[in-house]
Amino acid sequence: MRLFAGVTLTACALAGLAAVFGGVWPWLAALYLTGFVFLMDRLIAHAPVNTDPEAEFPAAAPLLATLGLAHFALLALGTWAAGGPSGLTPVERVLTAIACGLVFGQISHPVAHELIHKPNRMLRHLGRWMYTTLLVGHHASAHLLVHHVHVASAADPNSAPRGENFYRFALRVGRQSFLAGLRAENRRRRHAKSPGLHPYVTYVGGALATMAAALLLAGPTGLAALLAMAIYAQLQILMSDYVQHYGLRRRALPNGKPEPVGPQHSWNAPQVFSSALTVNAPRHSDHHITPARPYPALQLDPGTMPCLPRSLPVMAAIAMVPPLWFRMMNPRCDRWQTIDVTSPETRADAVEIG
Amino acid sequence: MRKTLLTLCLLTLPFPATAADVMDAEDFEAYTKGKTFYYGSRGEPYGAEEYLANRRVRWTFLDGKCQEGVWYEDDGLICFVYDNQPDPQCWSFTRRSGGLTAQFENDPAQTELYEVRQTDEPLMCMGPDVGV
Repeated sequence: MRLFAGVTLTACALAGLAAVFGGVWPWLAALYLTGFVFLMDRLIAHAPVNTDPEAEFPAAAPLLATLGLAHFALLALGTWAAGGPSGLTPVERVLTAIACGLVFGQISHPVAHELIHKPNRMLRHLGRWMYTTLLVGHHASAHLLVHHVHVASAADPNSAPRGENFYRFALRVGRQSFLAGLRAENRRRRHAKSPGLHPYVTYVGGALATMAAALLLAGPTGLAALLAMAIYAQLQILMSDYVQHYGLRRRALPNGKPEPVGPQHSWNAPQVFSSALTVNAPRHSDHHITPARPYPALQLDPGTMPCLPRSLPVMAAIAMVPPLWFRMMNPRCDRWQTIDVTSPETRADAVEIG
Repeated sequence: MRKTLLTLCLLTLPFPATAADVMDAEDFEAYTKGKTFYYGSRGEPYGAEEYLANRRVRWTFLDGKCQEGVWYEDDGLICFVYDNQPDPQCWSFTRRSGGLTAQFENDPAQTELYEVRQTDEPLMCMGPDVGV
C-alpha cells in the first residue's frame, strides 16, 4: 500500500511543482514519469507477489479518493501553467503539459477506472467526473456496460483484433465506444425504477463546462492546453486498452456464443514500479474475472494469464511502431489462442511463452 | 421426484447448450416474470431472485439481505445491474426439462446455476437494504 501511495503521490507532487515553479521541476516531473519508471522496473526484478485475495485494504479507497481530488487540482493548475499567464517559458510550458498529461493518462485513468467499479455511489461519481474532465466521460459507461461484457470479442470496440495497428484502432474506437456505451445505457435505463439524469448528458455537458472553465481561467491558449492534455490522456487510455487485449479472442462455442471471459483474454505485466504507478492496472486478467476486487488484491498467475514481453509502458511505446509490435505480439497471440488454460500440461507452455 | 430432477440437471451440466436452448429476453421474461426462483450450484443452495414487473429484480444470497436491480438483454445474454454493484452480471440462460440453468459469462471457473424451485411468493428480505 505504501508503495502505491509513494509512487503515485510523488508523480502528482512533481507535476504540481512543475506547474507552479517551472525551472528544473518540469524536467524532473517528465523524467520521473518516463525514464525513472523504466529504470525502476528494470532494477526491481523480483517475481510478482500476490497478496491474499480476500484481505482487506482499508487505505486503498482513501488513496483513490485523494488521487481523484488531486486530479482536478492538477488539471486546473496544468491548464493555467501551460496555457495561462503563468510566466513559464515555452519549453517549461510544453514539458509541464507533457508531465500533467502523463499523470492524467498513467494515474488519473487507472484511478478513475478503479472508482467506477466501486459499489459506493460517491466514489463512482468521482470516477465519472475524472473521465468527464478529460473530455471522455462516456468511457465510464462503455467500460462497464460494453467492454466488461463483450471483451475479447468483435462486439467490444476496445478489444483490438490481431493485425490491427494502434493508429487504425485509435481512429475507430473513439466514435464506436461512445455509441456502444450510449446504446447500452439506453437499454439499461429503459427498465430502471428512477433512471434520473442520463449519464451522457453529464458527460457531454461536463466536458463543455470543463472547456469553458479553461477558457475563463487561462484564455484561448488555456483551452488549447486543456485540449492538448486531454487528447494526450485519451490516447493513453486507448493505448492501455489496445495493449491489454490485442489479438486475444474468445473462442466460439458449439452454440455460436463466445466462451466465457477467462484469464487468457487479457495481457498482463508483472513489473513492480509501473504497476504501483497505475494502481495495478497491468494485472488485467484478474480484474476482468473479479472486477469488484480492490487493486492491491489483484492476482497474477503467468500459468493462465498471458504476460507481455516487457512492461506495460514499454509495450505502449512499441505499439507506436506497428511492424515491431506485430513481430513481437502476433506469435504470442497465436500460441495463446491454442492453449487450454485448464490443462496442467499447456500451463507449463504458457509460462514459457510469457 | 425433485431429487431425480436435480440429478438430471447435474448430469446435463457438462454438455454445451445448443443454439435453440439459449433463452432470449422474451423467453426469459415469459418464463420468470412475477415469480421467485431459487438457484443451486454444485449441490448447494446458491441464491434466489424475484422477477418483478418491467424487468426489475431482487436478488439474495439467502442471507436475508436483498439487492435491487434491473436486467436487460445484450447480444443474447441476460445482464443484471444491481443498485450497489456497477458491473453488469451477464448470464446465458438455458431451459431444460428440469428448469433453468444459467452460465455466468464473466468467469468460466466460477458459476453455473440451476433452478431448484420456483414459487409465486415474494422474497423474504430483512429490513431496508443498507448497501455500502
